[in-house]
Amino acid sequence: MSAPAPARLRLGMALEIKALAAAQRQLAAYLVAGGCAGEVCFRAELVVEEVVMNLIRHARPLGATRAVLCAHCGDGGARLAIEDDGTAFDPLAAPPRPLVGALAGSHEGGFGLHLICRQADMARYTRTDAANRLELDFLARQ
Amino acid sequence: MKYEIAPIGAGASRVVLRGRADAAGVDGIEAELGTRLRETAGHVVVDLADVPFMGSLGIRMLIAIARMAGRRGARIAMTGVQPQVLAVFETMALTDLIPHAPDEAAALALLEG
Repeated sequence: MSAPAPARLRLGMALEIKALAAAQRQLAAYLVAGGCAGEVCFRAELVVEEVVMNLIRHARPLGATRAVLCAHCGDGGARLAIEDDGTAFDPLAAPPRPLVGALAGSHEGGFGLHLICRQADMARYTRTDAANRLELDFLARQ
Repeated sequence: MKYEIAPIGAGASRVVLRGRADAAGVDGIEAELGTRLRETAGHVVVDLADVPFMGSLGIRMLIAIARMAGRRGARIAMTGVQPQVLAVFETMALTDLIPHAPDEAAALALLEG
């Protein structure tokens, strides 16, 4: 029998792919132990990867060094918050662009936001105390 | 994650991906897989039966493979997509860009039809 999930998960990570992968594994284990459905775990991991990869690609070169991932479970769903110490940037401000046309284009600008908006049931950005904070809700869909 | 590439007859290649297509998994194979695929000709069937998770980098890798095939006049299709992966592909409309089929024969029929 697995141990009960802690009330909340809080993970600090360097902005590196290896650290992201470790955080994804810990998040998945926490969500499963907390009773989240497989599809909730899947979507949460997917969005965390997208958000943190954006930080690695775009915020780290501008001075961001770390991200903190917080999570807690309830009613089969999960609420996540991802904070970083980079310059102010609202990832939800750009218009989302669906994948249609991606094969012809040279890049997938807007794809990430489209992904976040389609996989998370709520996404909200705030800037507080010199940190970017993205809150994400994943509700059980099945 | 790991990959294998093998010819399917004369006009297509099979790419079998295995393992979690998360950031670390994709980062470990993407460059080498791209190089290998640039040396292949014809359509590409990507077997995802042993891929239980695909993140945003994995989706981008599939799009990159499709673009690469498109530049030489070929297309790609997916087989064996696991239900949770397929659900994400469908909400992202990825299946509008890259068709999927239940098996390799059906995928080839899609590509050659």
